[in-house]
Amino acid sequence: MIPEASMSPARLALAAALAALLALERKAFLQAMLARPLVACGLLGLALGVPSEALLLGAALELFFLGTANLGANVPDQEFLASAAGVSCLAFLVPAFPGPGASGALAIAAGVALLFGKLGQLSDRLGERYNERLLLASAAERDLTRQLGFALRGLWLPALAGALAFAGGATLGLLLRRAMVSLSGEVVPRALGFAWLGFLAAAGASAVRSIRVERAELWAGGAAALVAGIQLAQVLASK
Amino acid sequence: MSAAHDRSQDTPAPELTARVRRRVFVRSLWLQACWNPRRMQSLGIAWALEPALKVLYPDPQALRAAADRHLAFFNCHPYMTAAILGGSLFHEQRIARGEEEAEKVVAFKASLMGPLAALGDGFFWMSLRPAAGAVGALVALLAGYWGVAVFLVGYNAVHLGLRAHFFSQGWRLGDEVVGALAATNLTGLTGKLRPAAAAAAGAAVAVAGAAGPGHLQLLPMLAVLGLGVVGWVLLGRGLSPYAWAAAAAGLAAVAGAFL
Repeated sequence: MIPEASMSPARLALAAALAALLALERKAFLQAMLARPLVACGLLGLALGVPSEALLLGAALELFFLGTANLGANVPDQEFLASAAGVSCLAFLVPAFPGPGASGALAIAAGVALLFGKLGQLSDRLGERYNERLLLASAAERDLTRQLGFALRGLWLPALAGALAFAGGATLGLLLRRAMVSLSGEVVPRALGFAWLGFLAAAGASAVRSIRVERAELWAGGAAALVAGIQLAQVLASK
Repeated sequence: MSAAHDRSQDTPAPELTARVRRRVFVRSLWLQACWNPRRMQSLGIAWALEPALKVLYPDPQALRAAADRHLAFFNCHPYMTAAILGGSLFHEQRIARGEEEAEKVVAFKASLMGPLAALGDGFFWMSLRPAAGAVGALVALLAGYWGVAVFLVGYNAVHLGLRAHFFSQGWRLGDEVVGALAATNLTGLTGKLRPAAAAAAGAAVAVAGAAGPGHLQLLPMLAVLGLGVVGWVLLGRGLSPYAWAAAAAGLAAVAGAFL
């Protein structure tokens, strides 16, 4: 559980600025995978004071979006905006779900992340249209240095989208936290905890389907069976 | 024959120094900052080449002609573009010296962008990244932030190493860069990385399931794996991963509410 004081406006602003920078890295600059869910959730989770929960969410989103690729002119799911919104939502929800793992908070954050993954596609299309306008404006420029300088004028839009997704996720997290706190009983948190397991299953299926190799299911199933076997042996040994 | 060619008959064009080539390489990291559907990476590649073109073509008209050559439609895998940028520097230097026609660099880019895009997509986007991501996720579930380090270091050691290598080979070899690219055997590596990605993804899901709620950790893991198999079948029949995520989470939530 994070202390209330840790979600100060300064901390949120710092994390939103980090989200804006990471958003640039997804396509506009470098592409060293800092904007992938595992890394982005890990870094934003550190900034927000929920590192272990954010890392769990990042690992699951990484698997869900494992096959996301910007091939040619297609606009794939926006895995970074999903991560930024998911982890900022998660930071507000964790206190409402005491206990190890905070699975209920993770389930809700994953749902918010998927919503922003789809909304992010619209944002990317908007960005491409804006860049096209920049290209046309650059062609009208006589001075060569100024014309080519238009190459960097599209940077602010993905950065803004990153910060807005972060803010959107945080707002949803705050609202949902209030709703969760007002609920009494154990049924809803338990149901949400199991929903997280359902999301993990979907993430795994999505990951294996996205890997284009013959018998991917056998490689994945064999490795999963090995882990299950080790787990079973541990359970039996502990009895 | 271009104005630059005519001029270069009398005064040899200056050499492209290592410093200028470094500037071009660093600028190439922003290649897609203005990616658009009309000309895709054209503005990015022209901006990246600008420092070199200014050295090679002191005459404003020749400089404009050279820049216009690179403002035409261009699209390639962003990492593989390093080889094309290096090769473009090779050709532009020869064009500025009058050793070849201006059309040569245009043909070089046009002939390589398609094949290199396919090679880069297949290796980096569809093999290396899924493998590094799945292994990183698995390690993150087992050892926390080490997973992030494994992902970033493992991926970028290959990514940045090859990107710099492709650029220098393009500059050194020009058209012959194709042979250097073939020698890296990216296609062969693809066949090894994808099974590793699938295995790591399967193991990661099992490990994540074992950390779920429940008194016996084995049961949630088996539930996750069972739902995963159902999902794998349904996704193969065209169901959207988003729809399956909602359905699987909903089913699990209902089960959890009554357990």
